[in-house]
Amino acid sequence: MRLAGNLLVALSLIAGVLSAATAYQVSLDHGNEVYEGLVLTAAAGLRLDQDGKPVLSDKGAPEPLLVLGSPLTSDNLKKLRANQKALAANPPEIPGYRVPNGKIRVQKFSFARWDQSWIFACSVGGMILGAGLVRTAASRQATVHRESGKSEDLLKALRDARQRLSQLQQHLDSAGDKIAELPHVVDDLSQLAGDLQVNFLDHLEVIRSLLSTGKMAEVMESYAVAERFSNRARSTAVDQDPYESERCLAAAAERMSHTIELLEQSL
Amino acid sequence: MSDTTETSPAPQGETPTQHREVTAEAVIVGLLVGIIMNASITYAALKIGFGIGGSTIAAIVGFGVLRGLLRKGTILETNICQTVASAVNIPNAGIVFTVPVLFMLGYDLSISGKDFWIIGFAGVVGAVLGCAFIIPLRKQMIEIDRLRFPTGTAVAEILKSPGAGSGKSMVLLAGCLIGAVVYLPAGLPQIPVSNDDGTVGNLPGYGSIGWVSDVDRNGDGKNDAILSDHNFDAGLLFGLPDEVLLLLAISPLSLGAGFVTGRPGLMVLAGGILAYFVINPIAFNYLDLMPAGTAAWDVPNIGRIQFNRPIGIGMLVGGAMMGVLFSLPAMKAALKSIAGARGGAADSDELGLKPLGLAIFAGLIGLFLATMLVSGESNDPTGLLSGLPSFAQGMIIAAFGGLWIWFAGIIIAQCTGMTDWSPISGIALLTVVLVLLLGGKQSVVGAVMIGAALCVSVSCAADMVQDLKTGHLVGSIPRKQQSIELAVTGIGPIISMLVILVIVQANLRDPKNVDQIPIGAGTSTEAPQSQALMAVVKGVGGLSKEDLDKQKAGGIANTGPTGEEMPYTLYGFGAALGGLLGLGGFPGLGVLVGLSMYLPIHYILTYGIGCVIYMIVARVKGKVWCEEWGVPFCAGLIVGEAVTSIVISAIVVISS
Repeated sequence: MRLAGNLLVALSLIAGVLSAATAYQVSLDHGNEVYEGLVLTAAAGLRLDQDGKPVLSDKGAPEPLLVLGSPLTSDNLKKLRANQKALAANPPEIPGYRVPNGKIRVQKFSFARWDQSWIFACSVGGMILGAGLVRTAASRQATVHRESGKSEDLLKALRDARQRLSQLQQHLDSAGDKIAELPHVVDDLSQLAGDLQVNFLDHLEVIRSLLSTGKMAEVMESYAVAERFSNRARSTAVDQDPYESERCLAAAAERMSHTIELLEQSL
Repeated sequence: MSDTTETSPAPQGETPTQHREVTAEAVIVGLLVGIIMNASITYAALKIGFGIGGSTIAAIVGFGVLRGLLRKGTILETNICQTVASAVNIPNAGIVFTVPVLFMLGYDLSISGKDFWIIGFAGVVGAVLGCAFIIPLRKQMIEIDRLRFPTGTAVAEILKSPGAGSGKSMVLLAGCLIGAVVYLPAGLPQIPVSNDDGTVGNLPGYGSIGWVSDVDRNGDGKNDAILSDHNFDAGLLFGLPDEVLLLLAISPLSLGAGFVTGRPGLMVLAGGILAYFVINPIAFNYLDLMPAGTAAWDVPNIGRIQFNRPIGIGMLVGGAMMGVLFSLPAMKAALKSIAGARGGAADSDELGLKPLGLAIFAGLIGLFLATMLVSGESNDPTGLLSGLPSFAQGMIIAAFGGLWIWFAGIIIAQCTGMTDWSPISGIALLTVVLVLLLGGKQSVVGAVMIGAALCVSVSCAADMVQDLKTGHLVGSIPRKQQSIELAVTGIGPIISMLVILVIVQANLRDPKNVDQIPIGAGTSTEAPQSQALMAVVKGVGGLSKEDLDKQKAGGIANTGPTGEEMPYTLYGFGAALGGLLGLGGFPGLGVLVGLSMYLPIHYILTYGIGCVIYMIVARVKGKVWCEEWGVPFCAGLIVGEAVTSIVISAIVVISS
């Protein structure tokens, strides 16, 4: 269902962007009053020689019939329509270029002139439906996560981190030569950061599916404070400050406990 | 919950120590580095057309001075040094894009004139507002959404390198060297050299290798290059249709940023593929959306200008709005946490809402005063607000500016956090046009002033949150970074303004400058970004000083800006699509897809390859390996290109 939802969103997006891109495009089929006061925002038509072949520039590019900024007077409209007929009757082959098919681009938007509005409306509907499918799939996934005990794995990762932080702090506290212990603190904290990345942070989608946005924010905020203290403990250990490092380890462990409590309450 | 105090408790008999973090040395070195970088990058950006982010350079210089020369800088102290330096440097990105437009349109900004100082003041206000608005979102972006901020991560890797062990330091260094070596031939052609025949040429680069195809698509008489100085055209090599652009930027920085972002970055790649591989070919071959006479090889460029860029900017705005909407509960929780810290033990951790509220209030008052004081726009009958008293007009424009600055700051910070890129120019163009429509076409100075405030603001917001990400990774106390950045960031706009003034004076005194052009085309400082903005200002009817004077004398009619040249509908439809994209499981999706439709494809593809490499390496070697070895290496790639780029820019400036 998730795949179907994402596919629907992607296809609707393509249709939506393409139809939106035609917002300023108008066909030449309307009556002249529709074009009153409008000017071209893109060159239109192709200049044809007496034999009905496109006039090419020195570089081989076809020259447009009307340039950007030309007003859509009845005379210009007549020229464009005649040009369109000629091109349709005898379509020229110009390598690397496309022959215009009778659509022009103007500077003002109007729903009345927008032929592709129905495609845009369908794409909006498709995106809403696709998003609904994705959300339904996510909600089912949350039930699966809850039943499969994934949340217990996350709590285990945090409890393990708290224990390692506490042990490090106690070890540093009891060490005779604190400075000599600091390289181990740095290594252990680097290792811990990697383990938390794999066992906790890589499963944020699980947490997101299990908790409300507000609860998720509380848990992640508390976790981030623990993480920052752990990072600070590492930085200060690198800079040979065992006391600040020890204090931060204690604070990180304390914050990790708080995070565990929050997560336990929220699940 | 207790957070941190600044003094470490020591065992009995020992004196408590204070860990070095915010020190006079760090602040002074940071200020000096920031001022020098700001002045040089302002000049370089006016000359070569693009700015360079300075956080990585600031970190390296700070590291060298504090740890190398002074031999006492800690990791956290060096982080404060780079925070100060980047805060002073970054506002140049906003000033160089906007202020030169006024000189180009003939407005006289001199050190003795009030407009110069009012615009400088608006820049300062923008810098303060940008920082103050984004600070409450730190928790949201860094702690809850866990955005990657590739450059912020790279800077953290530099700072952490002393304790990373020799292996990791070597990997970081190897990344730097490879980044520099790969980027060097892409940057060298910027450096001018004198040829034997007296003409001025450029140093050889990748393009000089001469790897060309056997086709000449643009009819210039030369076969098209597969390998040019900056890009590798894989589409040309594989014989793809001309309207499908498979172009890769030679940018280790983009590759590294993609790797650091990892899997979420694939959404950016998907947006780029959508725009350049699906939308453009269909638009050209089946929908006739290109102007008559458009060559197939020009489709990617025309398609980008005609619809991909406006729809992309709209999607950014809509996606960000949806993101804000969905994040409201999280934002509420984060704000509650900051507010709850007031007076409690945790108040030392985060700057409280009271000082932030004061900074924002003062900033908005400052913006209102600047709007009221700036000359040119009062009583213009052509603006949408023309019937209102000038006091009310000023209030509305300042309120609109403040709100837009807040929202744009969120967009830019999200983009930077997810990809390292920011669509500042697109947002700024929209801002200037909207203010011109509100105030009337005589209000060019006011519109550019609000545009400058916005550009400075969003640059500072993105930089602030990037620095806070670095701070998080090294364990810095956010409050200290936030306070110091708020305190010094206002210096940046003034430095940039003064540098522009010096450049203008030098240009006017140049004997070769017979037309007395202050800045822009015809001088050695062409300011290409400002020329693009000037074209838009003129496009919607904004008046040059000469036309304004004529109009005031009754010489020409005052018909007001039409604003019809801007494709508002495309912005609107893009916003709708961007918002709808966020309805699924990922509220920020509209921002990512919009950004990739807005940006040129060659950077997107190189970035996307970085994301794909991350996924492959993670599968083969594991995610821990990626984080432990891959991220430092890619941080090195980012630093290598950034440093090489700034060195080359310095050589260009010195040698000209």
